[in-house]
Amino acid sequence: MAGFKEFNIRWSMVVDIDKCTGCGACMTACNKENNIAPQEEAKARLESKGFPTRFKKIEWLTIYELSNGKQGGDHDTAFLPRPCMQCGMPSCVSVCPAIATDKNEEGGIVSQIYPRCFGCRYCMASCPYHARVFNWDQPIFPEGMEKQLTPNVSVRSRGVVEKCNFCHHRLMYAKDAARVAGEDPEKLADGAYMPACAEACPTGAISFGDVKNPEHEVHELAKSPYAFRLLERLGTDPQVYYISKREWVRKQGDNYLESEGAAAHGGNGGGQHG
Amino acid sequence: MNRRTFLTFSAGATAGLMITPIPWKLTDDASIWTQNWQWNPKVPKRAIYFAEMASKLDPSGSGVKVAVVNGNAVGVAGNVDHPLGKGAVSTMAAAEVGLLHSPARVRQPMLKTATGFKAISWDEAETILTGKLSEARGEVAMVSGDDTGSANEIFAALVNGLDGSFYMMPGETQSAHKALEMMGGEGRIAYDIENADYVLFLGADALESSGTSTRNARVFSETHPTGKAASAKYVYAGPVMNNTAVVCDQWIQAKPGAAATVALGLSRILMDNGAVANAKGFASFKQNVAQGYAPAHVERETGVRADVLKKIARELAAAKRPLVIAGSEFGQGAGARALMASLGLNVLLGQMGQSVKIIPGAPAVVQGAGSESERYAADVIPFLKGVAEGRDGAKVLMVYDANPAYGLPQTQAMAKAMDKAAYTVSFSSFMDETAERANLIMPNSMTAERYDDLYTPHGAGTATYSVNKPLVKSAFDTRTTADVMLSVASRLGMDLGYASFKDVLQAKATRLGASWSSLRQGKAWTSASASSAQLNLAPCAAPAVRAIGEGTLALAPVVKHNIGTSKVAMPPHSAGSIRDTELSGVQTVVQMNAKTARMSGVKAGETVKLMGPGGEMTAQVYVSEKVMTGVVAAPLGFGHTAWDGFSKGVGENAFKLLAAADDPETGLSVWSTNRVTIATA
Repeated sequence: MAGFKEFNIRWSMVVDIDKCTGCGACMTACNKENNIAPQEEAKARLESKGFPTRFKKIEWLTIYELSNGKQGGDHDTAFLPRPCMQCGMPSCVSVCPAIATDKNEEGGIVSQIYPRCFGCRYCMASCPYHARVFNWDQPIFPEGMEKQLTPNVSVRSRGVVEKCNFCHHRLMYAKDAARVAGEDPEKLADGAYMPACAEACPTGAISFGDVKNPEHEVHELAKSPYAFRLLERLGTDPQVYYISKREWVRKQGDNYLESEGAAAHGGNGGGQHG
Repeated sequence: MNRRTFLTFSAGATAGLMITPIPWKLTDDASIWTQNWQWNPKVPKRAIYFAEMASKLDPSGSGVKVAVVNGNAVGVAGNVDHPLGKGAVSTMAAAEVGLLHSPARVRQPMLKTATGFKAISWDEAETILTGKLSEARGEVAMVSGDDTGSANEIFAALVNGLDGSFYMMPGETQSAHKALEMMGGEGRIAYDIENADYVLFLGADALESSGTSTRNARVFSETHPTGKAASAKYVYAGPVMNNTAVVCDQWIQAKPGAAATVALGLSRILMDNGAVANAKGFASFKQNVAQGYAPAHVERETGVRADVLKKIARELAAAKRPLVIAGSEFGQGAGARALMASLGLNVLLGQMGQSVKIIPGAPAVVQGAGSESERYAADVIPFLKGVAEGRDGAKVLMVYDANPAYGLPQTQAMAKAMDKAAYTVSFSSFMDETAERANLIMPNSMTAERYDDLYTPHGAGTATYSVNKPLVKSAFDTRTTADVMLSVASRLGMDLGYASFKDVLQAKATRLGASWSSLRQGKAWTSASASSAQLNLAPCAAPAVRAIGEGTLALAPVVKHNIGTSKVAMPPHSAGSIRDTELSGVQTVVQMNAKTARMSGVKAGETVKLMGPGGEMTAQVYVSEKVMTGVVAAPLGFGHTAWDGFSKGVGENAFKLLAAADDPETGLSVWSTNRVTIATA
């Protein structure tokens, strides 16, 4: 596979799974921030579970519940929030015939340009993380709720694929604020740019920043011996890192053989960024 | 045309098609123009302003910033300066703005007629209410679910002026008032979780649904820095690995409603090891605890193993700033026992005035409203039961910021009370189960649309006060209930001393010594003052209320704010976050562990009937080791019969299973220890 660009900035999320309560505040904040229409027909969909209805759910961030599978007092549970991984080697970009999705901007966020997308859904098929969703229906907001759309994110039409973009509009705002303050927009301070989910999280499970910038907290966090990335051995090089002190959680982040330990990042400990 | 010419032409045409940009341009245009339909909602192109607000729908009272565009609230952001929000946005606060245009909102005053509701004007509505109240003097009742607002003072003063009765909805605040009253204190219980190095949650789901959960969650986050060692240990004791237990350093399995017994068991071990307290009633407390609550007894009663109890007692004793927070697993129904027992334990640990403080309650500014404790004194459950059974009369029953027809035990009886009362008035912003049964609905404006205040929710660290002002245009023809009631009082010829609710808030700010202009800008006021009064430990060692019902399994209701609260149904923007383990299709999912399922003869995915002392419900079984043996966990928040398409008819209401028992000594009903029987449906 042809290599993708290397960027000087690599916006990354570090999710501390040991601090996620699964409360859903991040999902609610994401839905509101990104003008995701509350699906009025949600009930009908719930009634008719199974394909394709369950794939009709529009959400950019999904919280998975993990279990160590043990019974009684040995049992343990964890929650894993899963946004778009903004892969360094994004399989969705390679397959897009319309160049509607690209990884071409400083910071490494995988873009999704809705007016270019004609809904072939190759990207959905290629994404190993199920991070992309397709608008099977028109976005319908309950009467009056369209007045509450944020100016930042256009409403997507039927027939278009969408996904998390790390609240890219917030990056634009942060850069603008830096310019106004006479600072370098390419050297944002830690915390100047924060997606809605990371901001909302009551337990502070989601950290965000430039993993290549030593002044950003995520730079160190991603190197933690407890850090791992989802399905890392596929070589997608995600920009989302997870941290858990529990080995069984780390093992569920990839497909390990029974004899293998959950050696994060191929056993060298920490993220291989930069 | 010969063959050669034809092939040449075909090859030329193919090559031309490959080279020409026309098909690609057409495809591009098609994808653009097919997304450009006029019926696709367009986003506004205006500047965003942020304004502070303290969420009134979030029981933890978290402060947030509201993003406003062209007079419409479009989003929320964290407010790091607010002591109860600390920069986070809770699930309910995140959803609150989206509810402004909820399909369930009541859009104008409504009067029930033989054929349904009809819209009326505010003047008509106030005239009708004034007439009804003046006729019903002596038999007026009002129920309020607002635990933090000064609006209650106006309501209480009005109702008291009509010789009526005023009730607060049951919950942690009422339990705390009763516990303090019995122990000779007054004010509010404050937990200094910020400085605690060992936190034990007994039942209280303190990171999700109990107390100042948003603030607690932020403090938890600070004490558990990502990638580093934790600076405090958090332990949860309860029947379900809920949102709090799942991140705590340790989960101790304890039966539902076991908080009081576990606290007394820990007290017993500490006192056996020589712990003493220089407090009133200590001798009596020690004697009563020594007579019962031996570790083996506690193990039998609560399921907490004796060795685990001893280890926790050792850790508590060794901690520098331990803190014990007790309560019901679902925020209501624990009465005052759990809190009293935990206060006794905190006193033994030497933490009274340290990790636990008694801070002043909100000063009353409306004459005739009585004190805060007086407003919390009466128990609404027996009153509503009485109305349902025709024993108590209520010629006019008014309900504010509460949904008793849905969110209380013996739900059917509570709903019946709404039907049996001669005239019911709802001030709900939403067409909820109570509003649907009301004769008159006078819809309250929502938090972002009205003046309101928020004084120190239960469990805050210090006294805090926030004032909300209208930030956005009113979505519908709604009014602030406090202002409506001031107007009604004036029509009744009563002078409550204020022309508008805003004046009441200003008076409150003055009484507290807070700056009005600063409050009005959204800055919260805090005060470090705390009472030094000694609490009497004598009543703390009373035995817990026995199990309610004869069922084979203990019922553990679970509250998650993305499903809703007892007064707000699932917000539209949270609908996607409901898990398959909570709702399957439109069927409520109850959870039990593999051993309990085997014992009960049910299998995963099976539809079962749960029979509790309050009623029955059907549900699907999900087998999960997140629930202790002998317990079935049921999510609260489903089974609405009113509201909107997002929540109506989705699942069943687990409140139906619950029945309340009397606890004559405290005077508060209790329903945290219900038992249910399970059978395949």
